[in-house]
Amino acid sequence: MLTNPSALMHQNLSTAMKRKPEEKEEPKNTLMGPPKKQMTKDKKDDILNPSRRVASYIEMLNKKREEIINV
Amino acid sequence: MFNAPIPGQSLTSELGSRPWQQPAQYTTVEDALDYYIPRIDSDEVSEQLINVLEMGIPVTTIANTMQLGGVMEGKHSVDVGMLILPVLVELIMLIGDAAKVDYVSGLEKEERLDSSLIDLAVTQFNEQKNKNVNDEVVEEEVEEPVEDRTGGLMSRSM
Repeated sequence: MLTNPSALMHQNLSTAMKRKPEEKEEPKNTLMGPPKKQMTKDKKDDILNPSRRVASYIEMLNKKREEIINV
Repeated sequence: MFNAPIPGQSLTSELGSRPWQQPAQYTTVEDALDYYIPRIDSDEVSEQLINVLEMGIPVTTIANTMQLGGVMEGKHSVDVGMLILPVLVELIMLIGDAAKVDYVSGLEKEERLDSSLIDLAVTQFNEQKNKNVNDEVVEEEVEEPVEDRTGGLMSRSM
């Protein structure tokens, strides 16, 4: 039974951070394309995603750690 | 041993009497981190942390204990605790690095094989071995059918 999920969570987040975000096709001005309002909402959702925010904090801490190690 | 709780004892207290049965105090990752970071960064706690790290306690264990304590105190929910876990791990490692402590992160991949994995491999090997033996037995039992030519009335004339 898993009693300490720290390592697993850290590993999953590191993997997710390494994976580059998929490049979306540029919207074409077509009738079937998504409306512009929806696209801006998607970007906002990405920023609001808690795991994204946690990833940004981890990146900051990682940089600080590297600075300390390299000094 | 005899002081262990009786099964179901946790259900005897009034619902909502425990802190974790109340709405969490901090509901977002930021709020929870705002609660933890000043505490971890304080001189008193960081000194204790360094001592614990020097004792060889893994960082992951310390981080998990901290967030579990937060859940038990009703500071945040389990979900928020899971989300802040990697940040706590990094923060503790940062403190360790700053103090130049040779700590155990707990993130290293275990090189030794887990005993359950060995058991699984042995079981699979035995199953495969038994299967092969059974196949051989079946193959031996299959014999070519012997033509039984009895000269009946309706049989073809030889």
